Amino acid sequence: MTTQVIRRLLQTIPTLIGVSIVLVLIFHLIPGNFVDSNPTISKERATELKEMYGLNDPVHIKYIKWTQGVLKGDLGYSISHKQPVTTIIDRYVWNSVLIAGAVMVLSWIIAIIVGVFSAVRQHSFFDGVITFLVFAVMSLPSFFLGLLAIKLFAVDMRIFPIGGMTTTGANYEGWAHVWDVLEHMILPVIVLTALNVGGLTRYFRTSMLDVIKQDFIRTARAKGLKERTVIFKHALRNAMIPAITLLGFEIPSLFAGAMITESIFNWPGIGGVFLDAITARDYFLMLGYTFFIAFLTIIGNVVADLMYRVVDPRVRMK
Amino acid sequence: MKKKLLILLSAVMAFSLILSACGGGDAAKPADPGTKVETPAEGEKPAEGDSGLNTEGLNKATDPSKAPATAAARKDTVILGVPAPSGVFHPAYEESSYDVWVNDLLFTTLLEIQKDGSYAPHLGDYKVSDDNKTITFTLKDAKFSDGKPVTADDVVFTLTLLYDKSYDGPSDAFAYAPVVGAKDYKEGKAQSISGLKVVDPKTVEITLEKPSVLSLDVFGATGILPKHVYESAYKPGDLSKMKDTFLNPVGSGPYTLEKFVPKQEVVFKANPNYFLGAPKVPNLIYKATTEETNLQLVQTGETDGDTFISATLDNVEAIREFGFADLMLNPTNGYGFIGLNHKDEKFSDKRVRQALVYGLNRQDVVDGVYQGLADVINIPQSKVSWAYTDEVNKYEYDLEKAKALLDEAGWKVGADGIREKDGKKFTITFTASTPNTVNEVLIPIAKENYAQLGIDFVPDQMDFNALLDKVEKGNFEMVFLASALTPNPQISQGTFRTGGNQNKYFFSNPRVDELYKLANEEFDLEKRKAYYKEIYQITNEEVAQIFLYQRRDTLTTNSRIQGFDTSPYKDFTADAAAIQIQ
Repeated sequence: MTTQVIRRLLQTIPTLIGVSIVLVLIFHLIPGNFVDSNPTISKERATELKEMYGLNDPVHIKYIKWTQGVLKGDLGYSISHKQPVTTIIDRYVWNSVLIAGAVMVLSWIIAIIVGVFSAVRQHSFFDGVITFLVFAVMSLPSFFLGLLAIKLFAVDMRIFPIGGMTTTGANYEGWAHVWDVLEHMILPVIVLTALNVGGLTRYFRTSMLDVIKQDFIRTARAKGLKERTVIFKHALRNAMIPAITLLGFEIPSLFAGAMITESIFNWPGIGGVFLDAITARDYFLMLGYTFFIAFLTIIGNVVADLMYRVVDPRVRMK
Repeated sequence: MKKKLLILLSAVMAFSLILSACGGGDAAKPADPGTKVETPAEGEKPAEGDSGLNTEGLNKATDPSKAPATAAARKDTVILGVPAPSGVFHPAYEESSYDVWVNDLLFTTLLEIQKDGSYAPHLGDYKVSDDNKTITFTLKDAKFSDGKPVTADDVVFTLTLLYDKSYDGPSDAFAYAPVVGAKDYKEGKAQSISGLKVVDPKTVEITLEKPSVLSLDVFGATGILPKHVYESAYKPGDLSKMKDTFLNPVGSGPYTLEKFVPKQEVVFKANPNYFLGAPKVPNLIYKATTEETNLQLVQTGETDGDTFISATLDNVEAIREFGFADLMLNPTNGYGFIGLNHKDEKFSDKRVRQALVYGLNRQDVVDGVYQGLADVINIPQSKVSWAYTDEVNKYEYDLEKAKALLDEAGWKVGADGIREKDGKKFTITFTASTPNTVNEVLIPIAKENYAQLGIDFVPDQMDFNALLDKVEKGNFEMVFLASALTPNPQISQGTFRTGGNQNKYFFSNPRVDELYKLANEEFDLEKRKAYYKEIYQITNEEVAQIFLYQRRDTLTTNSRIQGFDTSPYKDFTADAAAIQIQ
C-alpha cells in the first residue's frame, strides 16, 4: 500500500508541472493588467511598477520566477491587497470552507436518503415528484434562488439575517458567536444544498438501481433477510463505491468558494475575492489561487484512487 | 403509462401553483410589509422620476417615525454600509476607494477637499512662493491618537516614503510633485530629500524642480503617518515591512481602528485626541455590503445607511418609500463618452466630428438608460466643480445641421443613401463592450440616428477587457467608454494633452497642450479657472470626444443620523467627526 501511495504521488508531479505551465501561459495571454488600469499615473511610473511586479518579464522568465517561489510555498504577491497571495487565501478561504463543508455534509446525507428511496420505489409517485423537484431546483440559477430566499425569509418575514457572517456591532463571544454565525449560515447553506443535492440524488439513485438488480441482492432476499438489511447493508454499501470517487473530487470544491452565492449572501469567502482579482487583473492572486485549486483537484484524484483501493477488493487485485 | 403521465401532470400543476402564488404575492405587495405604506393609487405615478425628486441634492425623509426598531435601538453606534475594504490601511498604499474611506477616518491630511473640489486648509495651511516653486506648509496643533504631537518631521517622513525606490503604491509622486533632490534620494545618492525641509516643528518647506499644481494632490491629500510608530518599518530602498503595518494603523484622524474583520466589518472608536474635537458618535462601523442587498440592509435597520446603492430609478423610489431615509443624490465623479480615433481619416475634419454630435440624440440615449438620473454633458467636467463652465456649444440634436455639415465636408449622399467621398462609403465601426446597459440603448439609437444622416453605423461588441486591449493598441474607430473625474481638473490632461498617458484617441491640439502647461504652473484659482475654461471650450468645439452623460451617486442615511453634507468631491468621511445620532 505504501509503495502504491508513493507511486501515485510521484505520478502527480508531471501533472502539476503541466498544469502550472498552462496556467502561467493562459494568464500571461489575458489582455489588460492591474497597473494600466490606474488612469492617474504616468507612463514612466506604470513601466516602473510593471518592472517591480515582474509583469513585463517574458513568459518563460515569469514561469521560472514564479515556480521558484511556489517551491518555497510562496504563491506570489497580490498587487491589489499588497500582501502575499498565501496571506490573502488564508484570510478568506476558511469562511468558504465552513459553508462548503456544511453544504457537502447536508447534501450528501439528503442525496443518499432520497436517492435510495427513489431507487427502491422506482417509478412510484414519490420517485416522480422527487425527480421533478430535483430538476426544477437544479435548473434555477443560484442568484435567483438566493435573492428569492432573501426576499422571503430575511426581508419579508425577517426570520434570518440578510447576509454577512455575523451581526454587525453585536460583539458576541463564545457560544453566542457560534450561534450567530450558524444563523447567518442557514440561508446560503440551504440555497447551495438545494442546488447541489439534485445532481447527487440522481447519481445515488442510478448507482443504487444498478446494485439492486444484481443477483446477490436477490440471494439476500431469498435468504429471508429483512428488506431494511438488504437495502442498507448489502445494496447501499456497494452502491456507495462509485460515490467515494465523487468524494475525492469534492475536495477542491470545498475550497473553491461559491462565487455567486457568496456574493449574494455577502459571505466573506474566497469566491468574491477571486472574482475581484479577475476584474482587477491581480495577476498573481488569479494565478496563485487557480493553481491552489488545481493542486487540490489533483490531490483529490489521488485520494479518490487510494480510497477506491481500500473499499473495493476487486481493484486491489488488479 | 397513464399513471406516469398523471404523476407528471400533477407535479407540474403543483409547481405552477407555487410559482403563481409567489408571483401573486409579489404583485399584491407594493412594498415591504414590515413598514406600513400609504399606497398611492396605481397609475398615478409618472413613468419618469416622481415629481418631488431632487436629482441633485438632498431628499429629506418624509416620515422618520418609520425607522426600523433595530436601527433605533443603537444609541451610541452608527453602522454604515460600504463595499468591502481590502485591508490596506496605510495612506501611501491605498488603492481602492473603500480603503481610502477607512484611511480617511484614521489619518489626517494637510489639506481638505471642499464641496466644489478645491482645497481648503485642514491639518495644515500652505503658502506658495512668487516663483510657484516653493510651498510652505504650517501645521496646526494636533496630536496622533497615541497622544504624541504631529510635527514637521512626521510630514517629511510620510512624503519621503513616496519617493522611495521600493515604493509600489498608486501615488505617482515623481510626475505630480517633482521635489528637488528626490531623484538623488531614489538612486541612493542622498540620505534624505533636500527639497523636503523641516524649518521648525510646525513648518515644512517643500521646493519643487518646476511649478506643479498637481503636487497639492500629493502633499495635501496623503494622510500623515507618525514617524515614531512607522520608523521601524522603514528602511530606505526596502519597504517590505511597511506592509506588515497595514492592520495596525496609527494616525491623527477622528477615529481609531478597533477591529477589522475582512469582508465583514471595520469597527472604529472615536479618537479623543482628534484636533477638531472628539467625534460625537463614539462607535462607527463600516459594514461590508454588496449591491445585491445593501438596500435591504438599510430597510431592515441592520445598517444606518449605505454609501453605494446604485442610482437607478427603482432604487431611488424604493428608498423614498422607506420614508425614514435621507437620500443624497450627487453627480458622479465620472462621465460617459464616445471616443473617436483622431488618426482615422474620416474623423480628421472638424465638421464631420461636429455632425456626429449634432446628429446623435444624446438626450434620448441618456433618458433611456438612466430615466432622468443623468444629464447630457458637453465638457469633461462636473457641473459642481469650481472649474466648470457652461459657455460652450450645447450641440442640441439637429439633424438638418448635421446633414449640412457633412455636405460641406464633401460627404455626398450616394445612390444607396449612404454618404460617400472620394469613392469611399461612410461606415463607422463602433467598438462596444457587452454586457453594458448604456450600449444596449446607445447602439439602436445611434444606428437609427446615423442612418438618417446617411452613415452606416456598424456595432462590434466584445468583452470589456478585449475592448480595452483594442483601444490600447489604437485599433478602433469609435468606442463607448466612461472616465473618472478628479477634484483637481489638471488630471484630465492625461486624456487631452498630446501624448498624454490616457490619450488613446490621438487627440492633439497645440493650444490645449499649452493651456494645460500654464494651468499646472499656476496656483491661483481664478487664473486657473480661465485656463480650464478655454480648454473646455476647445475640446467642445473640436469634439475631442463625443461627451455623453454624467449619472448620479447616492448616499442613503437613516434620518436618525444627521450631519452629512457631501458633494461629488467631498466624501461622507469628511463629515464623520460631525455627524450626530438623534
